[in-house]
Amino acid sequence: MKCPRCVQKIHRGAETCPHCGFSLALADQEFAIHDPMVKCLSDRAGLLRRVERDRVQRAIDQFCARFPQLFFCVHTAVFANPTQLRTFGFWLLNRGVFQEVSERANASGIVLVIDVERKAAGMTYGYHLDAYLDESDTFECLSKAHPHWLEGRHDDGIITLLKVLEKILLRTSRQAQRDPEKFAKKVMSSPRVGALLDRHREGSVAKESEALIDREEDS
Amino acid sequence: MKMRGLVFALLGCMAIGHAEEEELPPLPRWSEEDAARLLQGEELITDALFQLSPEEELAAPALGVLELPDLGSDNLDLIDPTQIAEEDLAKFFGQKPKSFLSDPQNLLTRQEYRDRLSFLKYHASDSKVGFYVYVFDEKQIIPPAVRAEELFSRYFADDGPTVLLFYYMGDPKRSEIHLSTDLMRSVGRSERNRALQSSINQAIIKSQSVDQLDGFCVQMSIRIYWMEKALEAGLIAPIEEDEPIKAVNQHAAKIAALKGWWMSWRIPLGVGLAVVLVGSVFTWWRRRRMTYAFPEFDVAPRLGGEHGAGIGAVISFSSARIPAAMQREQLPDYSRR
Repeated sequence: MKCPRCVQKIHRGAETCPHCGFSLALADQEFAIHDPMVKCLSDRAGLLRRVERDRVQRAIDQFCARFPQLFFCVHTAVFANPTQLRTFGFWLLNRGVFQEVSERANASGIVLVIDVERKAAGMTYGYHLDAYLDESDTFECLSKAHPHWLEGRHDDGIITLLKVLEKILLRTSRQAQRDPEKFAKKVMSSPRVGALLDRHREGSVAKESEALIDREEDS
Repeated sequence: MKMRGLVFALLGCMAIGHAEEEELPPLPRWSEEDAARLLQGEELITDALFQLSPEEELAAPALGVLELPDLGSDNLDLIDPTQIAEEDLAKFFGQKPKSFLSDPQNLLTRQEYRDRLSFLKYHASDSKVGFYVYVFDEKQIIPPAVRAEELFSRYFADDGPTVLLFYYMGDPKRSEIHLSTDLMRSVGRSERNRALQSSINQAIIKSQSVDQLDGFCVQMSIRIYWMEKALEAGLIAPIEEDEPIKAVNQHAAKIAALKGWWMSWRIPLGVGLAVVLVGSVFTWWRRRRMTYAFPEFDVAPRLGGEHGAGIGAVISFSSARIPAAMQREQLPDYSRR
């Protein structure tokens, strides 16, 4: 797991990034001005022509039809600084209200954010896809779209990305149907870690630590 | 006397000259006006000298149409080059050949025929194996009713070992050889095929069809010599199915085989193809409509995000000089690559 802001590895279940202190609360402050009501294709930066928007919308609809649990969202925007591309994706996934797919959980969403100013694109996905997607998969999708985007054919790039993503998800879906345990292991915390977390939440670890410190002081 | 003769001769010549002068048209005469016009350049001498009289002007030849003989519709009927006329068939197969070379269609000139026949006669004088050559045209096809076994039993039963060659002028590869039963028993199919093939090889190196026939017959005669030796030695070849070997043009044979195969398999193939096509379309349609699901697992939320914190890759497409492959390592500030 990586922090959306500093891209450093963080512990599964961390409330804030231990490296940069990032959390959703900070993202809320940062993106408060943004309207959380979005469509699956929200071209706020005006990147696509109408015909291109229609093509992309059809591809998104097809994707959503094929994967009834999931949805895909494309959001174009201009950001003040580069780190906001990832953090905005994180924020949008958690705070966004996706109008056409309101019946589907945000945790099953995949968000593609395109920074029109800096010409960059990033992907974020919900918890339901944690077991089925990783950074390398999203990199594969983006790298296939890269040549189209370099030539300014943004619609082709998005459609290509969707096709590659579809292939990856088809494969993992079949594998998951055959062997769900394998994918469960990817996202399940180990019992030891889970127990430690529970103890943390109950405060017993803190109490034990305090008791230990007291004993040391007494001695 | 001599003087008198000379005078008579002169008088005769003058009389003839005068008579010729009377027959010719009068010479043009110059008038003063003509001379004045000539001096002023209004008239050329040539115009006056070579001007034809109106009656001498040549009339334009009348345009005639060449009348072609009416051939009639019957004359346009083309003869099928694969067919052998009935009367020729009767001459070929309705009787025992009168000589070693049968050419009732006169495909060979008389001289060519005599030369080839003399060679076959020479062969016959030197060998106990009869060698009969039937000459057909390049594309002619022997009717399937003609069977070599029948020919042997009907016409060559008393002749001892015999070889029949059906030779196609200009296409030696189509040649067929048939061996009488005793010879076949001794030689076998493989030797017969080798003899045929070597004869074909000798024939096809020649360019003229008559030379090809020569080459074929000479080589076959040599091979017959060895067949005769095998027969005399009492060799028995392994018994094989006795079928007439046809060195049919391989291309034509392939086409014919393909046609036959197609005719016998076209319906099953068509049905199979249709089934595969329908199956493919159905599979494609089913896959297109197929939906895919994922088992859902409980994931501990992180960074305060209720729905997700799955961070994927970020890629920059600001410059073609930075390919995607160089951007695999994820940096917080992707714009500073």
